[in-house]
Amino acid sequence: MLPQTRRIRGFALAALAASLAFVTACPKQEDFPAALDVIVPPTPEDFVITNPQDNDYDLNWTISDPGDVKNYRLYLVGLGLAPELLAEPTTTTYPITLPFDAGGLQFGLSAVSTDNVEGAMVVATVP
Amino acid sequence: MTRGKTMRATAALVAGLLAASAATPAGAANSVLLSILLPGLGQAEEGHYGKAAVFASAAFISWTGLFATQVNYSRSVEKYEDEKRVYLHYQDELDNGSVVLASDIDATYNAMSEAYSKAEDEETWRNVFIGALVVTYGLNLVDVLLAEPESGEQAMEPSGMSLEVKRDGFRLVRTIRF
Repeated sequence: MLPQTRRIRGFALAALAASLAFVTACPKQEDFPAALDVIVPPTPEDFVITNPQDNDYDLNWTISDPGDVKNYRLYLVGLGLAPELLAEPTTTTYPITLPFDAGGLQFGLSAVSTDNVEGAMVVATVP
Repeated sequence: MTRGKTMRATAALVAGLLAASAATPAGAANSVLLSILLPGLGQAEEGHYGKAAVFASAAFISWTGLFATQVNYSRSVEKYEDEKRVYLHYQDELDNGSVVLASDIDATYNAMSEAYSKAEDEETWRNVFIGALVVTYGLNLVDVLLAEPESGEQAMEPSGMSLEVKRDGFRLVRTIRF
């Protein structure tokens, strides 16, 4: 057998082995995991902001199933790119005093479940 | 485990083919070996260029399809594994007392489901090309093992001549068939 032919065959054999290794060494998708067993809290409703005095605001809302809620998260929306967390009240009413007039800005409110899952946010514009 | 089985099966297949080629006569063994390396090469060596072109084309298409689908499949598996890692990490965060957004959990779950479905589809297509390749190699080897050379190595016909030993000598008989 000519050395050149032998070299070509060697190369072909190596290519075949590399191809088989490439196919058989591919990772396979493992079993699909079970969905996380968590309690998703209900979304607060009837979120109302009143402004009894300058820079003082009273926030009120209702919740359909308070048993699943550990606390709420109150955000100020509109000052920056991301909502700014202001407080984490545990009741459905919350008075807050800001160091500036928040007129035109928005308050965001979401509930956090007993499993630490934060639900959807509702927003209300400051009057 | 499955990958190990596949590797062992592949190695056994290659070893079996090499053993089969070793068990055949020298010229045929050469053709079998060539056909193991690339379908069509054995046929080409025996002078069957039409069949060689068909087998080589089928092998080329199968290998190309297999590589393309394999690359896509690997990417889909990687994406799925990434999403799965993130999704399972949420449970750790929740267990540690961190608050996680339900929307993030839902979005990751949907992305993970989508990546899994895509990986399954890619795997199906990859298996189709593996099947095509196995069929191509199988037919190619059967063909090269059963086919006779186009020229040169034709088996010799019986000569029709025989030698009979007699008590007082021997007799040479030549038979001619019409």
